[in-house]
Amino acid sequence: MMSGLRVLAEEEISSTVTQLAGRASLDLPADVEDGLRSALEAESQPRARFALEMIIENARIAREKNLPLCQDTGFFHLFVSLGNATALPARFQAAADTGIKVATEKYYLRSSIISDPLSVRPDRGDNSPLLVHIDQCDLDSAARFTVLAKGGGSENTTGLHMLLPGEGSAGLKKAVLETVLAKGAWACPPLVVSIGVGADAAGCLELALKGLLRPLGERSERNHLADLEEDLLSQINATGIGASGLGGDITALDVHIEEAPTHIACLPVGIILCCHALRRASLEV
Amino acid sequence: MVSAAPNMKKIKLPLDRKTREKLRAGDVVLLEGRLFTARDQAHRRLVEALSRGDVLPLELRDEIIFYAGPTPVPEGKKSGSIGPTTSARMDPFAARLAEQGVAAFIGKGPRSQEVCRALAENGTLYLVAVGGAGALLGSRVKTIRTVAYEDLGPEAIYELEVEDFPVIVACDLQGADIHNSNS
Repeated sequence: MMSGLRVLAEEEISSTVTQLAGRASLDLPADVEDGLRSALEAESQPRARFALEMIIENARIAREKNLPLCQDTGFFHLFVSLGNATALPARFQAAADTGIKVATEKYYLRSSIISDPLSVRPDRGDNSPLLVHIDQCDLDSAARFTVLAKGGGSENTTGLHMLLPGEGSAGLKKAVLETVLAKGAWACPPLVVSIGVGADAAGCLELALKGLLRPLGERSERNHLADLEEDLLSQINATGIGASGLGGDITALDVHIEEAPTHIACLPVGIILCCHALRRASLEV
Repeated sequence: MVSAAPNMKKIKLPLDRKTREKLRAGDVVLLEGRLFTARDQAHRRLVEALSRGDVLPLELRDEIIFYAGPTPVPEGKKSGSIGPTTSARMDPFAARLAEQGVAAFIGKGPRSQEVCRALAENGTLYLVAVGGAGALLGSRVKTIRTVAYEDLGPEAIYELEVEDFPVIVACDLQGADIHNSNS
């Protein structure tokens, strides 16, 4: 082993996952709550205002009464950004799974995860396995853990479009707007629309998923993507779907676009419509 | 508190046919009384039982079916979180259950025009609750108990007693649908 390399302890991984899964499930992140409040300020339609008030009140009740924000406590993802001098132990997945099993019991989370998708049987009761995504960051002897809880209803609205390279940003916009129009009302709007462009089929969806970790209100560092985000946000809001699909001015809280290198023959676009309960929590360990 | 609700009405359940006739798409109502949960797998079982001619584990006439799967009830609390799931997934089963005299379904999101029409023909309303407000809606639940298909866990049929439970009429008996302005 390289000298100075810190291997994270299994117990620390488990307890961090437990803590983050609890926080994500019960405590709506401040940027998301701010986004909902801004949406309420901007909304003119009474039914959509009714839904937004209820969603904001829901966040308060969840926090106060320690109740999950949504009965669909979701599929749990763990994003690990490893610092330069940090490593994971061999039994990392098992340690992370222990963390989510403990959280399920401790915070009374619903286990929505079933072992065999094609047969009909009861749930397994522990929300494992945790879906793990690992990359690197500039931290030194630390790592950043983020837990994301993603509901099944909005997951069903996910879109993958293998566009022709020549279709460019116009093709991307068309794909996103069509997805929102066809499925947006089912994904618990106001949505956070996260788009991955580039990589391969699996990779563009992974990018879109990671886009959900970016704070709401923060634009892409690439100017042309930032412009595209703004443009799509106003066009998505112009659909009139509104909060809870009841008709209104705000259909999305934000649009994020993440990009990665791709193949010359390809223009993969992954589209994730995340519900208004964008549940995530982070911690440096 | 949730305030700005146009035409807010309090309704004591059961929701009889006369009351159903009067409700209009867009009305916001607060329900008080009994709801039964049923989602994907429970629907499959109920409709299979009807196809076999079996007696259902519960009487559906004038009852409300809530498309929902709750979180476990935390110690010392009356209910966990509970809220509507996507109604469109239950579209294939809706007409069959409406024929049994179901007063209303509660879910979220648009459903097909054929389903809304079939519901209206059977005198069944489609109500929507706000999706992702499970903590708020759960705090309006006074009691919860399992009544059928316990092996399905969160997908079992639960009986709920609710109070001030806010829903919006999405499809009324005249055929109006708030999700589809053409109707």
